[in-house]
Amino acid sequence: MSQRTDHLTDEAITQFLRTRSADPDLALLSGIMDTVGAARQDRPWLWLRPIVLPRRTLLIVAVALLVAAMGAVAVGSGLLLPAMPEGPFEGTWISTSDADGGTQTMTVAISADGAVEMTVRDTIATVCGRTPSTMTGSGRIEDSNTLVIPSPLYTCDDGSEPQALSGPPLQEQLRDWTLFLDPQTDTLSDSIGGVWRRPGAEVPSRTKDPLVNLKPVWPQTSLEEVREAQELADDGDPRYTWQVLGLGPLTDARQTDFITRFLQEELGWEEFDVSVFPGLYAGVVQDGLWEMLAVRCAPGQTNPLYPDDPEGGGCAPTIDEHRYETVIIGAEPARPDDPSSIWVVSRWVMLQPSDVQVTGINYRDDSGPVVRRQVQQVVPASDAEATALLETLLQARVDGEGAEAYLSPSASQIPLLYATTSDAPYERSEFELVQGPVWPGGWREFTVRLFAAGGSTVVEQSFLVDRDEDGRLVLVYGALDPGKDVLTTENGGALAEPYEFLDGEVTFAAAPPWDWYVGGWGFTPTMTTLEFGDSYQLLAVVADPLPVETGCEDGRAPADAEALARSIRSDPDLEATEPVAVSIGGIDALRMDVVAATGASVCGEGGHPQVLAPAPSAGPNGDLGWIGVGLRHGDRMRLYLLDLPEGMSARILAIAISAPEPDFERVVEAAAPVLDSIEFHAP
Amino acid sequence: MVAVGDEDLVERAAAGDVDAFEALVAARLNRAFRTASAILGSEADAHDVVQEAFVATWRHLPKLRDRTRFDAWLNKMIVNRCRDALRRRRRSREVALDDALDHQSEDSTGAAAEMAALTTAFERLGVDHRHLLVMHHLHRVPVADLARELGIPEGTTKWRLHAARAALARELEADR
Repeated sequence: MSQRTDHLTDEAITQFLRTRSADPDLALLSGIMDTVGAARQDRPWLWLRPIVLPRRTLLIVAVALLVAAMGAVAVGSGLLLPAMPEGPFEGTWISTSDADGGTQTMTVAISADGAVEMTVRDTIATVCGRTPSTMTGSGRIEDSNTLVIPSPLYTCDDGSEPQALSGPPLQEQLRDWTLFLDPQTDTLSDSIGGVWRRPGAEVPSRTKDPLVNLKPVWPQTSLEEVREAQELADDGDPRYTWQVLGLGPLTDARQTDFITRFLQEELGWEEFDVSVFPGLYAGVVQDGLWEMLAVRCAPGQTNPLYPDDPEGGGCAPTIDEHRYETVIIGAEPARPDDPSSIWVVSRWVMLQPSDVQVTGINYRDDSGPVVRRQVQQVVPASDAEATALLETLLQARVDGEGAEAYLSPSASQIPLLYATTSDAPYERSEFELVQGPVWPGGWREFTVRLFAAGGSTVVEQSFLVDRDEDGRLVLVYGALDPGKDVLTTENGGALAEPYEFLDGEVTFAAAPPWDWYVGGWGFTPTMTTLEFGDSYQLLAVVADPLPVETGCEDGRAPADAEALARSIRSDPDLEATEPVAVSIGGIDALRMDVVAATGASVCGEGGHPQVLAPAPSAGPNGDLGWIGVGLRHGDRMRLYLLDLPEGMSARILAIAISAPEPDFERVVEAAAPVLDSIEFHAP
Repeated sequence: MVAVGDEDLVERAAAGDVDAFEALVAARLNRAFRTASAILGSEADAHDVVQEAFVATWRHLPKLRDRTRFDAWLNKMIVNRCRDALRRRRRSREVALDDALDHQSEDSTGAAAEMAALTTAFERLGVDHRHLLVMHHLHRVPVADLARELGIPEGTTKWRLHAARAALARELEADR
């Protein structure tokens, strides 16, 4: 039987990792920087620092030469010519991102010695109560594309003090105000999100131009083409509206013909599969980039290794009998966060073969060595092989020994290996195929049943026939559906797993979906927390808790459970019901319901009102943040407080069950068997 | 996420400012090294991994689109290199490592035995499980921040963290 204990506490893991980790030696920083100093940076094409003058600069030089020549003529004729900018930053700029209806105009002047003077005038400044403002400053050009104004001075023209709308004072926010030049688009973007263009320059319909970082490769291949396609798509042109994918769940490439067209038109693939199987690389959206994997299928052929698989059955490999041409495609919207944006492919790469023998186990580990490698289908176990393996395993379980040899990775995680919960040995078994073989990993999923006590007890478990890294057939306790968290039942019920607390002085059992709470510091020597379904449905067991006073200070240690109940009831941050006498594990207890009062003090990084603090002996709170039992507004807590028998290592035990109000009764009901199972074992 | 105030350093480093990059490295070196050494269990390997990761970060920084994700990106660089290092080590030290572990278990008692058991169990975990445990238990990164860093939902992060912890517990149990 799988024995879960609180032996492996957070603190034990932390202590171990502290021992295992080390600080770097002093030479490492200088070693890194020596290498960095000699290493060139790889720059994307849009941000290339030009070795030759950029086109605009060349144009400016040419125009300046022309102007100089014309000026020489004009002096004599009395004509007045406008001054032309002499550097990429110099001259006048208009903000295209001023959202308050005003106009921000910036002038940049560079003196002969390289000093930069900057003035920004705003006709409507929100920080000045919508009156005009002026910002001035001097600075320096850090490189050809970066201008820094270390201490700009911002003033309201009416003499009032500018007020930052949020965050630190305005002057602080403006410190080291930096302008970045994109020479390709002749656009400045500043360090607080502003975008600046030359007067008269075409302003895109969006206030900020996200395209500056886009590198389209299909179906458009330049930013200009993308802009034009977006405008036409906005006008409903069907030649481009198929590129509008929305911003919904894009993880299923089959929902759109965008990828289909890419694979057909750009790669020339006739048949393909764009969703090899969930978990391998079904497609993810991260940072606005949609990545997906597709494999090419041999045209007009069926897959002899997986004739019955709905995905793989019609997708035969193209390289050899196992390997597929495989591509990873990256697509992104031209206008992030805009559902009317068109999407373009911005990268794609044909993947290389894996350098390890690919098995089903490799595929189920999404960080394994086959990820981002050519998809390679695994030879599935035959019916005869799977049957032989299962029969051997089940016979060993009936015999009471030897089953471990057929299980991977470890038999220790499999409950009821040789007997039922009441230690009744198995008498016979059966199994049935649930699904498989599933392409491309070759898995077959089986349900096995073991019968005991004349057939009155039936243990049912889920197993996969898989191959280990050496290609050997093994049985894995698990299911293909990663959301299936009940893998063993006894007479139809999920198995309750045993838990220990206070070094075994308190034991209880909880069946899935009750499970360890991992959303915070739920495990200390004096506190264990389980969650039911999600991290807002909790059951916490706390030894010798303290009340929490207003202001989040720990209260004084109560004399007994009744005193603790009184403290909680008198806490203005909480609203608690009158305690009711009940029994827990044969011990008298008090039961009360608690909710957070309106305007209650909040504590800890969660920012919630707190009900109980841990015992001072629970360990240092300092770098752990606030540990305790809290209550969100809108949650309800059922609290059991009891005095532990003499001789136990704690005096008071609190059991707190909390959940959002709508879920509360359901969670309390689910916690009832856990409470019923509590036993006390005085040393 | 990148710390407020560091965004400017990241921008400047991306533009080729070595001093700005040095400031970024100096602020992150200890944590990066602790992460790598905890994952790998070897200071020498951690030294190589961290150096490679920072140099790669410098080289590719101009291509980092979302500069606010600098720290998450750096972390990925480190973890990926840890993964490579573990693969190299598996090929070259398989026999030696097993021998070493055998000796450890023979000689150890009490707390030392407990630490040796944890070491053995931890070294059977994949690099992603190791990384999660290091971030959460050594560096105390809250689940919500981990989720942002990994770019996956909070629930998935919790599940993975739970799986990592369960895997460690399983490996410990397997040796008892």
